[in-house]
Amino acid sequence: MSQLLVCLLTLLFSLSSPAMERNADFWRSSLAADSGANIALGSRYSGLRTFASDIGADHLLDVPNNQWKDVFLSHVDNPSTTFHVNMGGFFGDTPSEMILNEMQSGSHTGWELQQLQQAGRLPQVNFYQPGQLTPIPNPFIK
Amino acid sequence: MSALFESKRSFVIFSYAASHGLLLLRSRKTKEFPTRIDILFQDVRAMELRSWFEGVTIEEVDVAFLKDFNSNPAQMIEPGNKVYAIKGREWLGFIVGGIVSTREDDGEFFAPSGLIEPSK
Repeated sequence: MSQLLVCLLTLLFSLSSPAMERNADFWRSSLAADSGANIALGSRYSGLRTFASDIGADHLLDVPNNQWKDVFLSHVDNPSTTFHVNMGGFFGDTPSEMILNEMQSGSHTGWELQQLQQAGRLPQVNFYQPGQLTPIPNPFIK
Repeated sequence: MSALFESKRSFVIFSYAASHGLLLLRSRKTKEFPTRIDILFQDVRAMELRSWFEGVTIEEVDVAFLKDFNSNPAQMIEPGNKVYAIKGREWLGFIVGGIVSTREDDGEFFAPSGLIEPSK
């Protein structure tokens, strides 16, 4: 019984530590989808954190995993949020083919792109070729 | 440096998911400890661990901690990544990743973790 108590106290301590508080703060601000947020999307393997830092955007990698879909969807619902997609790791001969292929890949980025498509927001997304910090012409603008 | 998490219980590496880099460490229910504990590291990109171990202390440490590990894990760090020292009984490892979350519940060993988004 005493060991269980020690374990519970340890867990309580860990959940109230400074690192956890920082994470909680980030989650709250992300869920609120602050006006004018810039959200970077793309593959971890293609340097999403660096890409986000380079363009001055946030990313969702540090949102608690059991919250990230709700946080993302709150941004999709907020017209003042701008999405920036790094196409590193996508495959295809043209940008639109790369993006549509990624949607079918089963990746989290693919799921996010599907949500943006269903919300009619793909024409407002900034897409970037790998290694580039200037968006390409949006292939979904008619 | 204060510990983010400390336990004397047994843990295993339960799963690693490539997308989002989710590394789940889990301690199962026992007669002595009738709860399940999950420790979830996100965006994991480098690590040195044992597949199972008894007792663990997790500390967030400076990147200099990694210099003694030959796999050159510091090379994997991007903006916002954290370095965690993972201390077990008679061994020392590390995890390079994003945030870490913990949860204690009464779930079964192979039941889904409440820390991970269910598939929709």
